[in-house]
Amino acid sequence: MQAAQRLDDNPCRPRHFKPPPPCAPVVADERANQVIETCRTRLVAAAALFAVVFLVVVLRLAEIVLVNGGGAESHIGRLPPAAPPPPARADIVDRNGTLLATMLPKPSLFVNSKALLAAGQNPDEAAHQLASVLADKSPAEIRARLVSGKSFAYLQRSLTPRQQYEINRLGIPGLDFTPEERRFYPYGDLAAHVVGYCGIDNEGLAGVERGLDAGVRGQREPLELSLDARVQFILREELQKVVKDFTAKGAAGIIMDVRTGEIIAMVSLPDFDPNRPGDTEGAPSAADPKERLFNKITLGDYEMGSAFKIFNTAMALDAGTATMAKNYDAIHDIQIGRFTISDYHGKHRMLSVPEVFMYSSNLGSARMAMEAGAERQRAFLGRLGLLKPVPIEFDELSRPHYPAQWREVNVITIAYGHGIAVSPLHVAAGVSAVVNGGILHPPTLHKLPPGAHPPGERVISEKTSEQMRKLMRLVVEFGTAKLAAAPGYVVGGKTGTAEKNQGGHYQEKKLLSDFVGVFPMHDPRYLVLTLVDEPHGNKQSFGFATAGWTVAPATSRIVQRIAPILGVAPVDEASPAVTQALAIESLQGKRIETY
Amino acid sequence: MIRFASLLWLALVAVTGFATFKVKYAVQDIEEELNKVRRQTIAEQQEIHLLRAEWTALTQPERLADLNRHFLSLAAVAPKQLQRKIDEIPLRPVPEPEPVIAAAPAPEPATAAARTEVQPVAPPATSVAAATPVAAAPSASADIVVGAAATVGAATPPSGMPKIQLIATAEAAPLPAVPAKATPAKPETRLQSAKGKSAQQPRSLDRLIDAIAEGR
Repeated sequence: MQAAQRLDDNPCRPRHFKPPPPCAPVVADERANQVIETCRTRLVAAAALFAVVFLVVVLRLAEIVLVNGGGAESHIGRLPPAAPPPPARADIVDRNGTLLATMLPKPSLFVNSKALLAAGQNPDEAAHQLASVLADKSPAEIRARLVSGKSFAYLQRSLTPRQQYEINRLGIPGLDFTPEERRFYPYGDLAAHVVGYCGIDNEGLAGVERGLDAGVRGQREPLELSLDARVQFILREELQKVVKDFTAKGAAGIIMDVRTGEIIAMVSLPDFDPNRPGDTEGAPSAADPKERLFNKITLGDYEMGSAFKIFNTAMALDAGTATMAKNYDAIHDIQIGRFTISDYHGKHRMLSVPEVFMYSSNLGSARMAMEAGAERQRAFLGRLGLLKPVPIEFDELSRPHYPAQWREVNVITIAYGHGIAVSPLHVAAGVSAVVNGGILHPPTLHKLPPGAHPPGERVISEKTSEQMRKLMRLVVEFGTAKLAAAPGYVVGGKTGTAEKNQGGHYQEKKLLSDFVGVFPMHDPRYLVLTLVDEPHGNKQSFGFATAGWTVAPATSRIVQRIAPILGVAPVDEASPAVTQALAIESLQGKRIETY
Repeated sequence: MIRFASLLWLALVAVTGFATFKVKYAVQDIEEELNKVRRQTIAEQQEIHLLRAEWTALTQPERLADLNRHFLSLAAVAPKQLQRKIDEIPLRPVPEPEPVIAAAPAPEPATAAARTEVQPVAPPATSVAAATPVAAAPSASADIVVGAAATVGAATPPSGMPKIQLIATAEAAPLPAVPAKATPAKPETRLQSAKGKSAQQPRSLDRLIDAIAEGR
């Protein structure tokens, strides 16, 4: 009965089909009904499944069409990228964005000898054509590889784009290129020691390339250095002139922003071409490759001579053991052990502190140091960072040499810069702190945003710094460095000439002349440290090879050329604003005896 | 009724199918184009990178300095030439009877004109006469020669007349200068030599800068 009823509901049944009249249920029907029931259940289940699937499709469609495009972005991700892959090493640029180091595609050429021979190419002709493009290979050499029968043989590594183009144009079968990148330094040897160089696998081996390897390797954003290529060029050119004029072994120079510790230029001569670091071709014969790779500024340690009197005087003034008006005995030589200390530019009278500094009196400086004592001296030099490697972004750093036991004789010699050997970078950082108001900034090669105030540590008082500025100006106005004057830029500084110590003996003929200049002295901005290794006097310097005759005039030229670039406007040096800022009370009214 | 519904659905299916394929191919085309553009972009970027490296190599300071020595001979800026404010630039002092210009073998005509025109005070007639060979130079276009001091003296308007006007008249009308043609040909050759010299512009520009620097 139930079954019949259901049969009746079937919508697919034609209308003319009349249901059979109801009758008593048969047993056989019972079984059939059960089968039908099962089928029906299965049908419903299948229909539900399809419905769900279709619903999913519909919903997805609705989402794509109506809502958000269905994540088209993820689809685009499968397309090739919109930018080239990051280079093996990021570019290095100077503070103005000038390229100092970049990656260039330098494909290597290889030959599949089998394919070449199979294509019926005449190897002699091909070798001849290739030799005309690859200048440094002979046709015979190329031919040997073309007919080697190997399926891979390098013909030439690091092609230039032009060579690649020419080879493609030859259309020789069986030749192919492997894509490779090489480090390229467009400015060549200009900033060789700062930027450094890379090995064949593009790993940093020297300079910033090594010291900041992590910031360069696999990065896309260029590394901005504090360097200014124009200033670097001027410094290098002037130092080259000094080396030539005074037939010196080498020279070095550093220009630093005294307010931030940024290094604007750093040159060490002789230098090298980072594109071919091991290559000595075209170099002056005397310089061997090792000497050329050596960075005098960070790796060299030198006894800087009288330039150390800046630190000595600052220490005595800051400790209060000396005042500007105090007089020191420069009459009597000092006898200590087997040494006799005397003055190079002897005045043989009592000298006040400004005079000691101006005339670079060893005796006065030594007596100032003795008065302050070994403990103070050592602590002061330590505070200025002169007793440990300079914290800078280089791996090649020198460790200062100083006496393990600070005896009296050491106190005396250190007062005028002997018996302690530090790198020029140490001195540059220390003097910056002395003149900039007393804050020591660690030197850096990273470009800082304009107007940045990097952290620093106070090492001397504001007042001592001001006094030191006046003293350093005095040296250029009346003292040992008159040739360093650059009209309008109020240069100040201190000369130093040291005899080089070789094997424990001081060589009278082998000098190291250095000059630490700062400008403008009434409001210090930049420090220029130059040193020349073993200069020989010439006619113009009247045979002198001391700092006042060699690097001081060079500093004057450097300052006059770089100041406009660095945005330092010239001032009237006789204007009251300048003279008042640099006037020394204890010398007021006295006639200053010119050096 | 049912037939109509079936037809409608059939039509919808057909339209949807067609639209789907249409969209699919359109998308394919766009993708292809995108691919092409991206490949092109990368190639361009690499090219730019290469050119940038080349440009940097070509503008090495050392090379520029060398080129300057060969072609321009520009000198470094002297501190004297740098002034921060326009008020700080001093007025050009009234020159004594033009020693610089008279001494210079043949300054470029345009420069000379600029020099005389800048002069704030009109010097007396005598000094005008002394300076005239130079002042006359700009009139070269009209092919007139204003030569020796004496002749020009005749052509010169009464004393006290500003020099600028003298130039103006010379340039505007060749008439007042006509008597000067009677003078010997010597000044003419001199003028021509001046013209010839003006080809070496950079040198005289350099000299001008020097002269200005000295003037300060």
